[in-house]
Amino acid sequence: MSESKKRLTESVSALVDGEVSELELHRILKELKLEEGSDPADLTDQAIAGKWSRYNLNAQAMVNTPLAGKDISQSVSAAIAEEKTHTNNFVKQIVQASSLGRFAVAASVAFVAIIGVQQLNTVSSLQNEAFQAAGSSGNAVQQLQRPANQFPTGFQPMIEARTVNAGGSFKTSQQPTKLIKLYIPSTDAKASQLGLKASYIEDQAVSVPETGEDKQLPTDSIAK
Amino acid sequence: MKEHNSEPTDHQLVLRVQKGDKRAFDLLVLKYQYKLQAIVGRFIRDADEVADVTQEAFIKAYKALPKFRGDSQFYTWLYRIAINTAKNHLVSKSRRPANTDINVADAEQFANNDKLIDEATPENSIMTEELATIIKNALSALPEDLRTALTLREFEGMSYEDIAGVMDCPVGTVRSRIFRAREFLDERVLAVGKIN
Repeated sequence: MSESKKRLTESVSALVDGEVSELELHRILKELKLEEGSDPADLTDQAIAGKWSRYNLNAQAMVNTPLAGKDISQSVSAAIAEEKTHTNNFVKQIVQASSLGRFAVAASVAFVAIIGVQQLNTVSSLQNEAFQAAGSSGNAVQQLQRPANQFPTGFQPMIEARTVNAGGSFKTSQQPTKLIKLYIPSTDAKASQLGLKASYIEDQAVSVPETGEDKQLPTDSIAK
Repeated sequence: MKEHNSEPTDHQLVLRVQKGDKRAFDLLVLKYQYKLQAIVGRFIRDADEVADVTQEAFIKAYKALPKFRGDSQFYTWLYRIAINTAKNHLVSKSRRPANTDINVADAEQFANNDKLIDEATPENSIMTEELATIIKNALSALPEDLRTALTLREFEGMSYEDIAGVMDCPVGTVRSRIFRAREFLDERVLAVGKIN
C-alpha cells in the first residue's frame, strides 16, 4: 500500500469514528468516485468502499449487532443514480428568502413613490384651487389691501403714484410723466398694479383734464 | 457495554447527501445494509424479499432525506422507514406482519438488547456469531496498545481525545493505533473468508 493510499485508508478508519475533517471526507468521496468508474474486477481488498464496509461490519459484529443478508450496495446505488440529486434546502430557502426580500423592498419603494407622487399632486392641486379661488374672487381692492395690511408698522411703501395723483399740491417723484400715464387707460388695472384704492384713483382722475391725452397733462405744474 | 456512537459520521454524510453528493449515501448504504437486512429479516423470511425490501427502504430514505432535520439519529429514522416498508410489503402480500413489534426507541440499543438478539433468525445469528468469533480471536492477538485503543473506542464509545487522555498519548497516535488495529482485524477476517 502506497503512503498516500495508507493515509487515505487511515482517514476512512477515522471516518468510521466521526473524527475526520471536511477536507478528508472530500478526499474519501473523491476516491470513491474514481472507484465507481473502475471495473469491479480491478478493485482489490484495498479499495476504499470495501475498507469502509468491512470496518463498519467488524465494528458492528464486535458489539454483537445482528447482521444478515447480501451486498445490495450496487443495486441501491444504481437505483439512486436514477433519482434526482438533492439540492441544499437551506441554501434554496436563503435564495428564495432573498428573492422575496428583494421583491418586498422593490414593492415598498414603488409604493412609497406612488404615495409620494399622489401626495404631491394633491398638494399642488389644492394650491391651484386656492390660487384660482383667490383669483376668481375678483375683489381687486381686497387683494390690493392684503399686502398693505401685512406691512410692518411704520413702513411706508414706495408708491410713487401717490405723489403724482396729488394734483401737484405736493412734491412728486423724480419721474412724474411716466406715472401720470399709468392712470389713463384703466383705473382699476393700474390701481391694482400700484396698490392703490380704486376709489382714490377715480377721485383723482376727475382732476385730470378730459382731453385724455398724455401730452396735455399738466406735467409742469406737477414738477413744481 | 456502550455501543459505538456513529452519529457524527452519519450527520456528516447526511449533510453531504442533502447538498447533492450521492456518493455519501453510498457510504451510508455500505454501512447499514447488513444491519437493516437483519431487522427486515424478522418480518420477512425469504432472503431475496429481504434484500428487495431493504433496497426499497434505502430508496425511500434517499427520497425523504431532504426532510430529515436531524431531530432524531439517522439510524433511528432509517430503522423506522425499514420497519414500515417491511410491514407494508407484508400487507401488500396479504400476509400478517410478524409478531415482532420493535419500538423505535429500541433501535439505538438494538445490539445490547438480549431479548431481541435471542429472537433473531438462526441465519442472522450464525453470521453475527461467526464474525464475532473471528474478531474476538483477532483482538486477543493484537498488541496491547492497539487493543486498548480499539476497545476504548468500540466498547466504551470514547472519542479520540478522551482515549488520548486515558492512554496519555497524542490524538494522532490514538488515530494511528485504531487504524492499525482495524487493519489487523480486517486482514484476519479476509483471510478466514478466503479460506471458507
